[in-house]
Amino acid sequence: MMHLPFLPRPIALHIPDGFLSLPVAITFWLISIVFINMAIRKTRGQFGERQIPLMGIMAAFIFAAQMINFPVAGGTSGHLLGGALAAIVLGPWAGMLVMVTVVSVQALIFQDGGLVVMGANIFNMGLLTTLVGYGLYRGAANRSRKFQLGTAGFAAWMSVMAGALLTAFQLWLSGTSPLRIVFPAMLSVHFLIGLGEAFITVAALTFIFQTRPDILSDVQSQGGRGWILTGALITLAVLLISPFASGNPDGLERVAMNLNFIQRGAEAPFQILPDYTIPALGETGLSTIIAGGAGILVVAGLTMGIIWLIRKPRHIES
Amino acid sequence: MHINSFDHYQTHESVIHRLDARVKIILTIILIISNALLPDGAWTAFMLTWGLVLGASLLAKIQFLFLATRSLVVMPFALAAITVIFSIPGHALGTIQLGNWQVVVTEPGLLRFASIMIRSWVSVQMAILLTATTTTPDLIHAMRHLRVPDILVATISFMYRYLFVLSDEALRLLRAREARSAALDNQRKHHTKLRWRIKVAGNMAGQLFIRSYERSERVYNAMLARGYQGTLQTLNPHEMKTKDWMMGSIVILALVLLQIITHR
Amino acid sequence: MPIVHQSKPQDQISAQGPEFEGALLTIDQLSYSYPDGHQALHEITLQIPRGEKAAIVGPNGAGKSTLMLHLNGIIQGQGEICVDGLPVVKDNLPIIRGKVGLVFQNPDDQLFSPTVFEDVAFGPLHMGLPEEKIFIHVEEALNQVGMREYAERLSHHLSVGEKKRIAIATVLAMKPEILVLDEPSAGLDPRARRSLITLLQEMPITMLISTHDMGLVAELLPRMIIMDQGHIVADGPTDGLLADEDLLEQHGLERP
Repeated sequence: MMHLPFLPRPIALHIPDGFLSLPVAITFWLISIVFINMAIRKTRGQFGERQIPLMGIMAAFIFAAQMINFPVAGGTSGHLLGGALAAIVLGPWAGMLVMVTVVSVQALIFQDGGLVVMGANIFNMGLLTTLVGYGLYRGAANRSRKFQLGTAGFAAWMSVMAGALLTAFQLWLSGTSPLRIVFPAMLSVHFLIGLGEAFITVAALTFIFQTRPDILSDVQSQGGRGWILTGALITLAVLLISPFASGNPDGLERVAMNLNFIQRGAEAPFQILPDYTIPALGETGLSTIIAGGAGILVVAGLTMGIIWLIRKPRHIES
Repeated sequence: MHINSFDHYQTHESVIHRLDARVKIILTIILIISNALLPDGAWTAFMLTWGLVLGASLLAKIQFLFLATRSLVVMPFALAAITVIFSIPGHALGTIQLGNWQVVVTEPGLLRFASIMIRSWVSVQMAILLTATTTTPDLIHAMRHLRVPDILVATISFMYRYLFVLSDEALRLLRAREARSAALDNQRKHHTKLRWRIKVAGNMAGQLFIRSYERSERVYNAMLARGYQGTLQTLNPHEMKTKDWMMGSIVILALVLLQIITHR
Repeated sequence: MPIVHQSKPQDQISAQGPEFEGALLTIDQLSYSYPDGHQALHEITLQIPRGEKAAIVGPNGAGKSTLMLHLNGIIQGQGEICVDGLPVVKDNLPIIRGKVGLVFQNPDDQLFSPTVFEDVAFGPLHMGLPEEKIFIHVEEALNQVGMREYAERLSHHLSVGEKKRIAIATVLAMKPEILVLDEPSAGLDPRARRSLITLLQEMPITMLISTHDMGLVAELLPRMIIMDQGHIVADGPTDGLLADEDLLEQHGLERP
C-alpha cells in the first residue's frame, strides 16, 4: 500500500492558510484568475480535442515527477518542482494550466498548501515559474542544442528563485515574517533547490531531445518576443531585488511604507550583523552587499539545519 | 492498487458525508476566511471555531488523532513565521542566547506568532475535514457547479485518475534504481559522481514524461472509440436539498455572529 | 434525480437500423503506412459474419493493433471498411463507433474516469442517449460482466482482472454489434484469465480478438486469422491451423 500524502516534495513554497493576510491572498487570487482565463483561451486551439486528456495526464506526470529525487549530500536531495519543464515541453499556456491543476489538486486532496491562499500558491509555483521559465527558454530558440539546454537550466533555476522571492514578499506583506530574515532565508534555501531543479530539468530535456525530439519541436517557436521580454524582465527584477532586499531590507521597507503597502512596520529589536555592515569596511555599498551575503549564508545554514532536523520521514510502502 | 489515507474515511456514512459537496466547499472557504479576519489574540473566537471543526469531525466519525497528525503538514511552514517572535517591538518577555547573539522574545511578537499558527492549524483541519468526508469525484463535480471553468475541472479529473497510475510508474523507476545501485558495493555507491546521479534522475523524469505523453495519445484514442467529439459531457448526481441549505446557512450565520462579537 | 450536463444537445445516434444482410464487418484491400513511411498493413481483405468469434494472431509488429484502430476510424488508411453495411468514413464515425466496441489492451488507458460509473456511462453519454437510457445501459453492461456492485468504486482501487471486466463493460454499454478486444488476457493471473474466458464464452455477440494467448484462441474462437508483417498469411478454422505446425513456427506462434 502506498500513502501518497507523505511523499517527499518541495515544501517551502506551498503556503498554508493562515500565513497570508486576506488582502494579499485575494489580490493574488484575482491576478491568477486573469492568467488562468487567458491560458484557457490561448490553449483552446493548441492541441485540439486531445487537449483535455493530454493536460490532465501531464499534470499527473508533474505530480509523479516531483517524487523523483537525486541524493546530493548529507541526507539532502534534489527535487523537481516542474514549472519550467512543463512550460518548455508543452508551451507556456498549456504549461500554466497543467501547473495550476497540480497546485490545486495538491491543496484540495493533500492539503499541500492552503485553499484561500491557493491563488498565491498558483501564481508563485504555477504561473510565475512558467512565465519566466518559458520566457528565458524562448530566447534560445533557433540556437544550438547545447545553448538551449543551458538556457533551460538557467530558466529552471530562475523560476524557482522568482517563486521564492515572491513567496517571501507575500509573507512579509502579510506581516508573517520580517523582511530582513525571510528574504535572505527563502532566497538562499531556494538558491540550492533551484540548482536541483535546473539539473533535473536539463537532464530530463536531454533525454527527451534524444528519444522524442518531435514532441519538443511543436512547442519550440510558440509565442513571440513578448515572452522573451517577460522572461527577461522577471529575471532582471529577481537579480536586482534579491541583493537589495537581502542587503538593505530597511530601504525596501521604507519604500513599502511610503507606498502604504504595510501597516505593520516590523522593526527588529535584535541584529544578526549590526546594521548589515562589516565594521572594518565602514558604511559602504560594498560592505552592505557582503554583509547581506554573509547573512544569507548564516540563515541558510540555520534553516537547512532545522529543515534537516524536522524533515518528514518517507513512508513509501508497497 | 493504492490506498490514499483519505479513502478510508470518505466511504463512511454520516450527516457530514451526506452534506452536498458544494456546501462543504463553500463552508470550508468561509471558515478559513473567517479565521483570517479574526484579529490576533482573539483566543475565544479561535477556540469556538476550532470547536466547530472538532464537532463536525466528531459527527463525521473522524478520529481526532488522524486530524491532529494530518494537520501537522503546516508545521514546517512555522519556520517562516517564527521570527516574528523576536522582531515585533514591544514588552520584552525574556532573551534567548544563540551563540554570540541575543534575541529578545516580545509579547506582541509571541501573540502574533501564536495567532498565525492557530489560524493556520484550525484552517487546515477544516480542509482535512472537507477531503475526508467528500469523495474526490464528488469534489470535482462540485467544482463544476461552482463555476470552475470546464477545462480545468476536466483536467483535474484526468489528473486525479492518472495520479496513481503515474506515481506507480515513478515508484517502479525509483525501485529499479535502488535495485541497481544496491548491486554496487557500498564503497562505490558513495563515490558515484553527482553528475551521474543527476543524469539518472533526469533520465527517469524524461522517461516518465515520454510514457505519459504516449499514454495521453492512447487515452485519447480510447475516448474517441467511445464517441468523444471534443466536448466532454458529464452526468451529475448532485442536487441541493433543504437540509443542505439549512446546514450551510446555520454555519455561515454562526461565523458572521462570531465576527461581529469579536470585532465589537 | 440526476441532472445531465450536456453542453450542446446532440442528435441521438440510432444504432438500430434495418438489419443488414451481408457480413457484419468487411475489409477490402486495406493498406496503411505510418507518417514515417513504414508500411503497417498491406491490402488486407477480410470478412466477419454476424455472430462469429474470430482471433487475430501473429508476432508483435504484425499490424494487429493498427488494423483494430482502423475498424472504428481512429486511423484511416486506403481501402474500404464497412460495418453493418456502413462505410467507415468521417460522416459515419459517430454511428460506427457505437457499433464497434473497441477495448484497448491496457485497462488503465481504457478507464480514464475517476469512478466506474462515469467510465461505463461515458460511451452512451457521448452517443447522446437520454439520461434514463444511460442509467439502464450502464446497469445492464455492469450486469453482463458481473460487476454490478462496482458502480461507485474508484478505478484506481480495482485489480487488473476487475479493470478488464469494467473495460469490456464500458463498450457493452454502447450496445455494439461487434466487440473488438486487444490482448484481453494479458497481465491476468490464471484465475482471472479463466473467469474472463468464461465471460466471453457466454456472450452471444460477434467478436474479433487480437491475442498471443493461443489457449484462449483454441478454447474460445473457432476462426483464426494469422497476420505477419502487415499481411494476412492464413485465415481458417482454428483447429486446422493449429494442426499445421510448420505454419505456426514460421510466424512465431506456438500450439497451446
